[in-house]
Amino acid sequence: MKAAVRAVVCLVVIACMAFLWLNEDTTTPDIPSAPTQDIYVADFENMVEPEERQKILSIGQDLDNRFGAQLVVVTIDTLNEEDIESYANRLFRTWGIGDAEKNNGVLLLIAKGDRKFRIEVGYGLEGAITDGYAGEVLDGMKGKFRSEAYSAGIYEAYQKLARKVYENYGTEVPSSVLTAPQPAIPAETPPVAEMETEWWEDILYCGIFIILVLVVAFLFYGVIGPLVSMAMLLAINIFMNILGVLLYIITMGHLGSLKWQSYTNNDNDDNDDNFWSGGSGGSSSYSSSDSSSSSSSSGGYGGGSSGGGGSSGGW
Amino acid sequence: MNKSAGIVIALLAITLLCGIGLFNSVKSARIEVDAQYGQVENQIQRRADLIPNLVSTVKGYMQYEEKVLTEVTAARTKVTNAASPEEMATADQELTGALGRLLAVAENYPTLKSDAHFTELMREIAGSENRIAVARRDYNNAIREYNVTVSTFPGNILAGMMGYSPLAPFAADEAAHNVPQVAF
Repeated sequence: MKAAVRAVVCLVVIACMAFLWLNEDTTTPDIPSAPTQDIYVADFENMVEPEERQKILSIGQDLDNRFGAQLVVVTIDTLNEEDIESYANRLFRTWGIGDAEKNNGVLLLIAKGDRKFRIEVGYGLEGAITDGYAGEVLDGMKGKFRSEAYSAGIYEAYQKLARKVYENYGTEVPSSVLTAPQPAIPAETPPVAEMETEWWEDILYCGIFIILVLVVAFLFYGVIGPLVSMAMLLAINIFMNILGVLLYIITMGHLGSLKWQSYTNNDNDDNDDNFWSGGSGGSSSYSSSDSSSSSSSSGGYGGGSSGGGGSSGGW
Repeated sequence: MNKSAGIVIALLAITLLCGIGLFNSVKSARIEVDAQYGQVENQIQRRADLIPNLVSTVKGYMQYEEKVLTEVTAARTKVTNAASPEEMATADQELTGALGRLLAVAENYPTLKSDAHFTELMREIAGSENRIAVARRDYNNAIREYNVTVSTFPGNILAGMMGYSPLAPFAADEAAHNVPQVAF
């Protein structure tokens, strides 16, 4: 009898694990891994001069501090025959550019070897940076790129995009976008406290449930000898703990808060972005609850997504 | 009041817990599919909404190309009136085809091509097309995941009870490009 029970339990656990494993994402080898510092300029092709790089970084940091918006330049060598639209979209979502709630990221992707570029705009900024505007910005860049003034072209495009982001949030465009950087001033009221429960609350509820079950079991087995009852209690306890943890992972959708992404390190599955958000080293869900700043300033992307808005071109 | 009764209770509790988890995963997969479809519809609609503006811009430049313009307008009407995902997919493909022909014709009109408003509109339309592609991919991914959930063990048991069956992906058939039979 006991062996049968054990077998059943084993099966259940294995089934649950198989289920979990099935849900895991496959990796994307050709998307470079997200940088952990200087996240606004991922210049793999060394197209940006140090001076412009500093300026871009300070504008990017200011945008991020004030609005949680992330405006990111990425230069790569080649797209490996993929079209730039889908590559940009995958990179955008894999890295999670912009705040997870506001989806206010912008990606300026340049494939130097293919002589192609694209501006990909997150959902939240599609109104501010229209496809037409993105196309204009790229047109401006095209001229500079043809004369190989890459760094200047990128910086100019970055400023144009940044300007629209400031306007979108009703803020004066700081002179820093054109000249020197300014200290960041928190211009927005902090977002409303999160409705989402903390992950430990779920564990707490799980614990309460286990205790209830234990109490019932105790009353039940109190009739029989205390030794048997103790053994059974222990067994049930272990079952419930395992199940609780598994269920928690499977059903409650808090994989992000478990930092699951740092184990798999790759989230190519677009549909689950909101599910998984906050895990990619970003801190949107945590830092938004502290009142001093509205977003992450410690580095890392916020987990934003994009629906393919923007414009593409080449030079 | 013996050991086996206890085991039965424990097993029941386990089954119940697993059942809840299963139900939730099937349900949320379904909700995800519906949400993604809404996104597809939105984006297709968005592109269709740009058409009247485009037609009126283009009209000023090419009076002798009524046929192409009528085609585009007809395809747009079909998109607006589409009732099911299948109709929507076909109508959208037709619109893509008609727009392609319009662009081919526009090549002959250098003044039109240099019109700022036209350029802007074409950028919007290109962006819209990319959004449709992304939304469609997301939708099909959601369907794929949903199908896996409802057709593999143990989800299939529950899906059967809930009346959920696998769904067909959104048609992205390239052949549809070539069959815009527009009567006018």
